[in-house]
Amino acid sequence: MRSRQRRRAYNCRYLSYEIPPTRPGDEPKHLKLPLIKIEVASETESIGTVALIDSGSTSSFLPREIALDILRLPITHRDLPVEGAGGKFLCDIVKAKEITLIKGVIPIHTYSDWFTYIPKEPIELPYAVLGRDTIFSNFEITFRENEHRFVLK
Amino acid sequence: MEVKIMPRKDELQCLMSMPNLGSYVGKWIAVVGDDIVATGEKGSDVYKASKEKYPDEIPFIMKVPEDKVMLL
Repeated sequence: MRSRQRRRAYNCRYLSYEIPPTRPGDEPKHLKLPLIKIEVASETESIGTVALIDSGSTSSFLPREIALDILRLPITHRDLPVEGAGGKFLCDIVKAKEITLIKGVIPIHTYSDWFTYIPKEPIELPYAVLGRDTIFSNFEITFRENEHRFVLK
Repeated sequence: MEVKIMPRKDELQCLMSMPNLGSYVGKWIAVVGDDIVATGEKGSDVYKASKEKYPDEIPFIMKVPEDKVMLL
């Protein structure tokens, strides 16, 4: 008899919030983003932050400020051209000791010796981006856009 | 030597229950427990402020995203 291993599903809510209007008479805006908590570690420091789950990105990215100014991750490659929807831009590649995906308070997956892109100016990322080279390699991901949820399995 | 292990906090859940999160749009914030403990224009400054107040915690910091189209 063949045994089947059931994979655990992690049901995650989009981070949603209301942006107050900047001018009288304008309506507030509602933002809803499929963000997951991550912890990124260098050899000496760790930091928690958020990452966008992006099926349209072949690679993963970290904000430059987190990678260099805070964690001081070593740059392993410089000035690599990356093709984006808006045209080419330059990136460096850094090496983190670890990145851990966290659902609630539970670490659900860790990548060790993680190489990732950091865009150079004028591209400024507000959050990390997890593309098909990381989270999509290890989880089946279903976006339930109308429920503002995604499921990792 | 006794190793002190700090319990993890669910900062994302905490952010979801904050009615005024949108007022921090475009700013870096640091979250410890249920509170925003530092804000600023630079992530590194917010990180330092958070570490000074809570040296035993792993700082959770993020830039609160603006409402704009993002395409890499």
